[in-house]
Amino acid sequence: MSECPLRRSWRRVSLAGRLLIANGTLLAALGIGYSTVVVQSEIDFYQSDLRQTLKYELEFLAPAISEPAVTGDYALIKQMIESRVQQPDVALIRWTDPRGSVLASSGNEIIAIAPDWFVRWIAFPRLHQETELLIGGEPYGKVEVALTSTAAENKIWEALRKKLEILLFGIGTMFALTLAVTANGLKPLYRLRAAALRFGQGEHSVRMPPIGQPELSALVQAFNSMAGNIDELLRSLRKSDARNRLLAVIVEQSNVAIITKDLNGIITSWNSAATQVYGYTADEMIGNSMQRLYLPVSDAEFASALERMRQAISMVFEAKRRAKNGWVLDVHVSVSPLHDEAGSHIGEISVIRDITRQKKAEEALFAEKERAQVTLASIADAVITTDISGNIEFLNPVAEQLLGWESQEATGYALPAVFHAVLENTEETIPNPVEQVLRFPCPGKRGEAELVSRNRVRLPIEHSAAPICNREGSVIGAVLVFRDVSASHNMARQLNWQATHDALTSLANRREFERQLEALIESAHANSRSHALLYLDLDQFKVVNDTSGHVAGDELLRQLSTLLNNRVRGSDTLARLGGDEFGVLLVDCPIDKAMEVAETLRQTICDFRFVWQNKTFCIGASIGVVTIAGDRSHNADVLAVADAACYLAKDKGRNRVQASPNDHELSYRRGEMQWITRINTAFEEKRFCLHYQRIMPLQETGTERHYEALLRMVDQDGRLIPPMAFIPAAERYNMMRQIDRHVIAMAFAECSMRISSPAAAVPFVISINLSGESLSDEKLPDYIKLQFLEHDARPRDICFEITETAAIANLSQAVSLIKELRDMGCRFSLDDFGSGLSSFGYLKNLPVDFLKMDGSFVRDMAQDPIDAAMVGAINDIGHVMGIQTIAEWVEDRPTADMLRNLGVDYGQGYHFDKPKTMGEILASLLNKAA
Amino acid sequence: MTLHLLAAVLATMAACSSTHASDRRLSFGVITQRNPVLTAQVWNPILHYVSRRSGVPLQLKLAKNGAEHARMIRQGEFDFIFSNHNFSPLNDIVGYTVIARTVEPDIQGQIVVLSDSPIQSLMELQDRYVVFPSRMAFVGYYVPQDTLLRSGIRVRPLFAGNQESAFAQLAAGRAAAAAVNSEVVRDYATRQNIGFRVLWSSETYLNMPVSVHPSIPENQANAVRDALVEMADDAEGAKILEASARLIGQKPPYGFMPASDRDYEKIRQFYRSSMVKKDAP
Repeated sequence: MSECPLRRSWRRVSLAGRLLIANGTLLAALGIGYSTVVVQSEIDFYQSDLRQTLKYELEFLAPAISEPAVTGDYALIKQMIESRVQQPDVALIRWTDPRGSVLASSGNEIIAIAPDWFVRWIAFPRLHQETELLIGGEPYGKVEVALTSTAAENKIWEALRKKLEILLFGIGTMFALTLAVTANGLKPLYRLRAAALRFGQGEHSVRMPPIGQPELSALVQAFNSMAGNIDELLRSLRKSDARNRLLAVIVEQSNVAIITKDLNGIITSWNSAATQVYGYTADEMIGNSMQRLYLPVSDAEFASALERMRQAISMVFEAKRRAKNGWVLDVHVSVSPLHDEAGSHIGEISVIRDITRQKKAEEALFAEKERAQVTLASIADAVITTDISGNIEFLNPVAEQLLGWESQEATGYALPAVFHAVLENTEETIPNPVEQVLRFPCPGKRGEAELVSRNRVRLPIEHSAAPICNREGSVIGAVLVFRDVSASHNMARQLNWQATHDALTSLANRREFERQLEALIESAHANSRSHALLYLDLDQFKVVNDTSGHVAGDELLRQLSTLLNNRVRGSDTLARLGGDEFGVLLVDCPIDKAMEVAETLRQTICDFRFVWQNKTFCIGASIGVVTIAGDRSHNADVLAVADAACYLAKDKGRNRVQASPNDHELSYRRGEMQWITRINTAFEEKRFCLHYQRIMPLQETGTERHYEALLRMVDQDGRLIPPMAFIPAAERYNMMRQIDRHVIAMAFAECSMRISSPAAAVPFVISINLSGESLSDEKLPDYIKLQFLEHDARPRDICFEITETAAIANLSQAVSLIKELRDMGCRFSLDDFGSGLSSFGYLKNLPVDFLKMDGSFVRDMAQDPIDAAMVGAINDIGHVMGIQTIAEWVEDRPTADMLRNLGVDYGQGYHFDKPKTMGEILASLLNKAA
Repeated sequence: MTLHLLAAVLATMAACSSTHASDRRLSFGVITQRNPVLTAQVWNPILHYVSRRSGVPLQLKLAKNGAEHARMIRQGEFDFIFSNHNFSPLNDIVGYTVIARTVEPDIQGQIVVLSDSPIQSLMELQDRYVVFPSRMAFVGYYVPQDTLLRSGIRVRPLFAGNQESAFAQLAAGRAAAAAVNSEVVRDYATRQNIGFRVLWSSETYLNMPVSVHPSIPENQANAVRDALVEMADDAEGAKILEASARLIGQKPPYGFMPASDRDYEKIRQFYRSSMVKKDAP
């Protein structure tokens, strides 16, 4: 049932509030009641008074007026009326004589103070009365008197107002007094409450001075008395219960779970340690059966526990119990019968320790030991453990195997009896590593040695020893681990050899060569000794590689290396420095002797015949020879000088020996270096240009105009520099790819310039030279395609020229490039044909459009019948293969006529045309057209 | 001579006004011996009866006091009067004629003191206050004052307006003695239960007559006289008379009897010989 809200609100009101409300209500009710009674009484009084007044006035006036009425003294009547009308409450007095004449007078108007509702409420009757003047039966007129109740109403209102003011003042005063009295009077009560609170919080010594009103003072005294009694009681309780409490505290605070139960196995006490063990709180367990802690399948165990308990048997045992969270605990339980003070057997007390962790630790320890044994048995290293005296305790299987001792057999022996190791070089027995670590305990002491096993087998080993410490850090033994490192030793040796030797030829490699060279330079410097360096470069090796494959090339190098190695002394070093480059260091060898050795080697190579798949190859060698002697600074670039000498030998016609170049030759080489700088500058400053030389049809069969693009460099003074001046340097320093690409871009641009000119209708073919280096440029086809797109050039207007030697040297790349560009519509011309190997067989593999005969045949063919025959033969071969022929270096008319008669298709040379710029060509075409 | 001429003029004037008498009530003035209301209470029933009986409509007309009553007589304002002020020399010229008189005993002037008054003789009134009804009162002033003057007693006169009022002032202690109509004072003292002692009494004079103004036709005057005289004999009239007498404490006999001017020659004679100043208000 819901409580009335008013009642609920009332309950929240304080005592002062209740007093105020009650007193206020009572006072207000009394005041209002009293005021109502008084006002009603006043109303009655004033009504009566007014009636009296009315009556009086009439009774007074009637006889008073009778006399003047009788005597006809109207003035007196008027005077009397006016006099009487001044009386309070008289509103009107009127006398009407028998003839109807009226004498009347009104009283002073009274201003109404009381509000209308009040006037309506008190509802005064109409106060008007009249009387006839009849004297001796003769009428003397009529007297009327009317009274006003306004004054009475005002008075009643004023009185009421005053009463209400007094009432309000009274209520206000009562409120103030009540508040003051309650606030002051309740002070002791509040203090008492605070004191009670403090007492409740344990401050039992708190007392209050007896203050306040007698009742409150009595209350305070009652509180003090009660507090004193309770304090006393508590003290006595504390004293009497101290021992029990101490016991209870001991039990409660014990970190051992202590549980008591009655003879039915119902738990009667449960300490907090038990809660920690089982997870159940005392509230959850007291009153419940112990069986709750047993495993679900342990009914029989519980029954036997009850039986044991009833027989009052003490015992200690271990058991499994169930915790609240479901975990199974291992517990150590000690039970004793429990007797009450009278000695009756009332149950049993159990002291329980949770030994789950201990059990687990034991299991883990066992597992760990097993694991350690298995691990030791299975690892690849040999392990020996010893006691603190260094006597063997255990050998693992690997140790057994390496040492030739069984573990059991070795146990108890001092380590040196079983483990015998010597230093590899000195055969000296190494110090006992276990003894060392036992004496100076530091972990991981490593070393290398050679183990001598029980059956005298030797093995290189790495060993390390470490002390074994207990938990306190005390050394209790040592472990020695060692491993057979023969495999890794072999590996290291192999790696070292590989690092210093060429895998293909088994000769020293370049690094080893340079290291030894450095040593020789140092010895020359330090000991004034004289050594020699040979730099050997095979000639025609590339031909073998390209025609028969790398396998063939490799085989050639291997055979040649063996051959050469037999031609030098054991103290000399023969090394392979690169592809087909070799170096020889001749220790303590003067230059003339060195020249002899070099010549021997050259001859050996020259005499060597390499046979590969029924092909026989002859190769040669160019050898540069340099002395290593004197100051170190003289020998800084000895290898470069040897290289230069070798190059010089090649320049001089290959297959020869060249001593170190003289100063002039060195400066030439340095001049080449300068050319590189100039080429780079020309690139940057765009000082390359193309001139075009006409390739003239000799048989009047061609309709298109064929030109060869020729590269020129413009020096900083504006002079043209021919290609022969800078191309060799560019070739040597691998700049040809860059130059070729530049030429292609320029030629394509000028070709498209021609297309946009009025001479566009004339069919044009531009031949562009590609170096051997560019043939191996895998990205060149893509570059050329890009240039076609960029310059809007047409592939059918472009012919690429490659030299016979370059094509053969890079045969596979050349064939691939030719096919790819020919597929696009470009044409190819094989240049300088006849100057190199002139193997017609290659021609079958090279799908070219033009065969350009070497100018050295053409230039003298008019005088030399052999040259003329060569030209004829080449021309015939070309035609047989469907290839058009071009003769270059045509410088006079007889040559031109001969060529024409031989059936050569095109001629090129100063006889026909000098190279011109594209602008000049286009201008002349326009002039012709004009 | 002057008086006669004046009387003739006034009579003419009254005659002129009496031409309208037939349609108006004739005024009947009554001497102011008592307060006017009591007078009206006594006289209105009588006049109502007389009017009915005589066929002459009468209306009581009272003055405020004796002096006023005398002045009104002198000015001929009353058609009929029940008074003796018409006998004073100044009033006598108006010409009121006595037609009847009350059957009540004769009257005499008296100087009275309260029963417990130490004054035992007139002589003791020397220089003392003596209250009189008015200067016009015959037995209330003229007669006792004449005696006092003749006795050489100088009193300090006070005037109360009428007989009862004079005695009332004595009773109130305002004056040492009062000069009053013996009959009125007797009735009043009896009504008011006031004891008094008579120091001096005059000789007797006829009680009040009813006179008529010369302008009133004789038939009307006679009719009124007859009605008055026959009143006591009529049951209704006698009842009225008795009731009126009871009002003022008057003892029987009541009523009126015929009378003439000659019956009141004694009063006229006194006026003529009196030592009291005649032209008093």
